[in-house]
Amino acid sequence: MASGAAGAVPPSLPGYLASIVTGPLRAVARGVKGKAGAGSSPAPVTGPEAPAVPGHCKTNAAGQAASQGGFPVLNCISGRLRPGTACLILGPPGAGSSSMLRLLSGRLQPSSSMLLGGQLTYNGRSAGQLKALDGVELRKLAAYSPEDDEHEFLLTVRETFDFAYKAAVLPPPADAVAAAAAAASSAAPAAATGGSNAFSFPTGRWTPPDADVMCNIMVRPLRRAPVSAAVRAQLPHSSTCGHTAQPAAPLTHPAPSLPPPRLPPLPSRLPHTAATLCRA
Amino acid sequence: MQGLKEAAHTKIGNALIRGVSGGQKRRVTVGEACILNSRVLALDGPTNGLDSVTANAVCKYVADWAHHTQGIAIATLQQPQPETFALFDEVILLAEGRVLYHGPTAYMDGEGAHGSAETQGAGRAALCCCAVC
Repeated sequence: MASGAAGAVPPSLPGYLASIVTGPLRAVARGVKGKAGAGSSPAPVTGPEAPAVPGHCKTNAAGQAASQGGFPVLNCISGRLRPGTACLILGPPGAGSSSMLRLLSGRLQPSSSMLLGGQLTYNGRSAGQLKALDGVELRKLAAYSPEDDEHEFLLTVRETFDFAYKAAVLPPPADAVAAAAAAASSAAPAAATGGSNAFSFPTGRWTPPDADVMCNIMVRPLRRAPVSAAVRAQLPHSSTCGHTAQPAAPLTHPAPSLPPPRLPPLPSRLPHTAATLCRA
Repeated sequence: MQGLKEAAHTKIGNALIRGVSGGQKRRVTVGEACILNSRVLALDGPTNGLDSVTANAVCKYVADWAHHTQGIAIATLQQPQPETFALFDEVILLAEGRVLYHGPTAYMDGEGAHGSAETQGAGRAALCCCAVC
């Protein structure tokens, strides 16, 4: 699946993203150390209304989650997001929607409080492959808007946009690139493609996408911290889904006769700049 | 972004320094993600704290971005208006970490695309969420 699609990915992959394909994805919050959710994931089950589901546990201050080995935040998520679509995630608070957003945008990393299992690919490539083969960092491929508004309070709105644009889109200064190259002179494939900002459009142009190419991301099970056997048992060890109580139904809809996509003419320049965002 | 033209030269501000309003600050956060010109745009509650008209405008902006640039826009919303709901192409219903539904918004009512499909869909989505809770 992934290998066949990856073979069709041209070197200019950073210019587009065709689709996201997720295998049986799981994110399991490990036992809480001191604080619930450990900051990187919302507490899925909170409050007195927390259901007494086997395998789930409440994240109360007593830290009972630690003794029970954590709880699944995302359980056997699979699906495909196609290019040119706007997808809406609905769910009650704590259903895992925020975690899913972070996962799809590469912000949910395995840590001491989070285990990830399953497969997640962008255009047939995992996050590591994107970085190694294409010099693309997932954080640049996917933008993430957090739920909290954290800004530099002394900057104006326009300056905030300008700063974000310069920091993320424009190529870094030449001296910074030289310093980074000197510091990390090891085998860095990104250096051959123009530094860490290889995924950028400094000329203000972008490549029209190729809708036939798939994109995948792989999230491997955590191996950093010692994992309790109870948590490890919840992770899928292969492509099959781990849990047996409720077998994962194929979550991809059977492709009904969709209306033709609403596709206006493709613009030739970057859609977003500080000027366009400040325009009414 | 809707309504940011007037506030373009206003400081963001914080609790001590008077700045833009909370809704404008929310749109600045969304705009910061948009300005990256990435291929995936993940927005966590982009319309939190916004009125319905502005929320609809922000979602239309995001949906148009996805259609124009062939990108993938993913957003979580709380209590979307039917008009806002209809702007999206697909919807994923989550409950306790599981996907209840993933498909076109027009098929949320189970009948196909009718005139009030979006309205029924939004109501059905709310019902599903409530049922799981």
